[in-house]
Amino acid sequence: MLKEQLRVVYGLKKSIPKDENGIPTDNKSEVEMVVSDAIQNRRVDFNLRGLAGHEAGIEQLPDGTTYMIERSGRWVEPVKGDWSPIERLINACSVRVSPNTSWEISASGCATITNATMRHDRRWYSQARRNVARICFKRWW
Amino acid sequence: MVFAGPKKCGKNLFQEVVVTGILGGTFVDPTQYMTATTSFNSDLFAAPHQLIADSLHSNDQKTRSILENAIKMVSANHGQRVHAKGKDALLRMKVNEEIFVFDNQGP
Repeated sequence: MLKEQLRVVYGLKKSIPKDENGIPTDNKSEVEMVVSDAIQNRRVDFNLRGLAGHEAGIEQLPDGTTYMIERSGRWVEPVKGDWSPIERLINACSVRVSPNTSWEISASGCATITNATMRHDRRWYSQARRNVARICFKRWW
Repeated sequence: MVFAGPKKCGKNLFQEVVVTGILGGTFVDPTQYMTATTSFNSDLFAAPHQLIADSLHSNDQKTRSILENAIKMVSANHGQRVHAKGKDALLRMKVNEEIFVFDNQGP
């Protein structure tokens, strides 16, 4: 299937190149050369259909493991306007789990994450997520 | 984040319209992985919104304990373990994901 794709989409030849007299000039076709080069020089250790918060491409872990992300995430495009209904909804997400414990932090954390997501700031988003998880789970468990 | 409330109070509407919309429009259901029904989880990394709504039917203590641990692991750890079918598992993948659990209010 990959070879067909290379032949049809990229116009590469599957047959071994020959000169005017029909004598092979090489022992591999264009398609085989491309596939061979990909295996040799462009191999990754892992591939994912998608990874939340990441764009399509090849990334590397600190230990050198490489992985390919096939599709980019869908980013929310921020648009200026009245968002008071959503704001009220998010701010209302404060749950009292016991008479002495309130969950205001979860509402403000949610708002922080929302703002960060809409601002496309992945580093801030990640930090906000960790802070909320740390605080919420300290109360939970 | 856990939302609990009586039936037909709008929990599903909130998750489908607001939360999924805010987080990019896609979600995945991690119930099978989080209740240890399957060990494969690579599909869960594609969406930032992991949603457990009406898919959790079991109410026994063991399943609840497994789910508790799974939620804690996904939420508190900085890196996650990715395991796809036919491939070695990969550790320490950093992701930006949120888990939302919706439950009917009850004992």
